Amino acid sequence: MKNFFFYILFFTMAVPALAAKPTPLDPAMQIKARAIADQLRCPVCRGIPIAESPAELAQNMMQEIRNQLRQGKSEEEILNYFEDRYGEWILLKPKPKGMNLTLWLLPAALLAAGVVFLFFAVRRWSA
Amino acid sequence: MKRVILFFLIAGPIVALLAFGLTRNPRELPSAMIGKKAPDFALKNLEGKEVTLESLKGQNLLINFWATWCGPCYQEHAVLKAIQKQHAQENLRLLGVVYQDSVENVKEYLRQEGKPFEVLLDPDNKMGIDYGVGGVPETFFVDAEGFIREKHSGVLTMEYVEFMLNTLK
Repeated sequence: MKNFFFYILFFTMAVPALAAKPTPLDPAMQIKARAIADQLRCPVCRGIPIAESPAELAQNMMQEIRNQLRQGKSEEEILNYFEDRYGEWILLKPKPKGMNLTLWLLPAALLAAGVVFLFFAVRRWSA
Repeated sequence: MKRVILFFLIAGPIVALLAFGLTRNPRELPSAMIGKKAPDFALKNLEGKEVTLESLKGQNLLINFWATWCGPCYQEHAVLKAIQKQHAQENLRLLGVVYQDSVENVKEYLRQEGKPFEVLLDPDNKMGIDYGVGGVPETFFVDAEGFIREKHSGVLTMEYVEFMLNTLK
């Protein structure tokens, strides 16, 4: 009889608790959530992704990523969601377009210029 | 002479770029939300009644994200109270979205300082993230058609709010 009451108590307490908690993501989804969070800048930190931040806002954003993955959203859709709201600044890796191309092309251009400079410098020294 | 000219040709643009960068405030980022339709929300107010963006359609909105632990929000509270008093008869609704704070703190704070806005509780920061909020205080001006016309980060001043409300008319 005592056990019977125990089980009744257990289930009446456990069922609402389970219902309130969202189902955890499976390991593959967890990895996906982490990969997305690694690409997003924590708005209240200095240059670290939300995946590495203990800040409450970063944790809320992490939860939003998990919720959107549960809804079946793709990585691109989730990144676009954050970009639409916080601007391109939120992406730790700027998209290679427009003025951003400078970031991607300038190092290569400087390297090429250096090689050309060295080539002519060495030729002049050896002449 | 040639070398000096070459030096200035290379160093000049780099120094100019750095100097330009130093004149900019890295904390000032134009909101990506300006000009966009305000994201919908469904949040409870302090009385437990659900408030949605849809239910406020047709009114100009001043949506202020705030918290009791935020010092600048305390300064801003007086401005919001004055705005509410002066524009009570107009088609303007002031909403105060609670950011990372407890209901108890909010109730006690409002009891002491007065309540210039309808308080909305956002326990999971869903609305905050939907509006791209990075800290408090942040204020959004939404027109009667539901478009975000401006976002302000930091303490509001009377002059600024009056100017913005005129642009919403």
